[in-house]
Amino acid sequence: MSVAFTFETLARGDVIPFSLTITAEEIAGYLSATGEDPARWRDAVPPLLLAAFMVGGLLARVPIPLEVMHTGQEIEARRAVRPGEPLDVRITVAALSQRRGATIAQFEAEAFSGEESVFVSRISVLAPPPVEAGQG
Amino acid sequence: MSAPAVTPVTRVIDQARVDAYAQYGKDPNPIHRETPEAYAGPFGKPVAHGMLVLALASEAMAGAFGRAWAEGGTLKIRWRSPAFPPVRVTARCTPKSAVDGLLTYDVVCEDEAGEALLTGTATVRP
Repeated sequence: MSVAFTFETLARGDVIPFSLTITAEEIAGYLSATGEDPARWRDAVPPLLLAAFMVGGLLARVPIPLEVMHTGQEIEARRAVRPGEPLDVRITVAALSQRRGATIAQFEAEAFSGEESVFVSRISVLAPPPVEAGQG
Repeated sequence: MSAPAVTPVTRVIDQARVDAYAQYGKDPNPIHRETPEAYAGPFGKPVAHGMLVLALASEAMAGAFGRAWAEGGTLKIRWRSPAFPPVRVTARCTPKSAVDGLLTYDVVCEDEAGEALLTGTATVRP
């Protein structure tokens, strides 16, 4: 996969698009990892799995420095997503600011099935100030 | 209509669960695993994925509301403290309000000492 963005050069308004289809096997693997009973998720994708895969899609396309912390998360399910349903995801850099040397970024990720918006995830991260030479 | 009680979810998050989540949750960041990067990183040792901790709160809401949670649930949280495996995490969703059919819950995931790992709110319209 080619990388078109870096965390350091992101700008407000940048859009990171990708396609996403979540299979029944991926749901089973995810639920085995979280420990949740899979019985209730035979015909729908768990909302937090969708949010996690959107974060995963972001991480796969924007190399995030190890010290960047995931500080906040919002999810908004607009309808249940079916296993195997093809989605188009658009992740937008919604906000980017500096505070006391730290970088605070907010990403808004929206999943579409055709023209229908089915899920929104908002991801907040914080990159601590760079460590000066001689520190740390 | 008042917001019904939601049964808490408690689970041990150990390194094996974190490793499995790294694979199946599509977050292979080495700070979550037994790697040199984790020990040289911001926490000095492996830290559980925040999304893995949050998954317990989503599980609690799904357990109470079933498909309605997938049809229109919302979560808004901030992480408060890192979770270092092994840690016994409990997700609690406490009724806050019920207005025009929209149920709102205070959400907290805490460790065995009662320290909040994340806090926030959840809503659902059953």
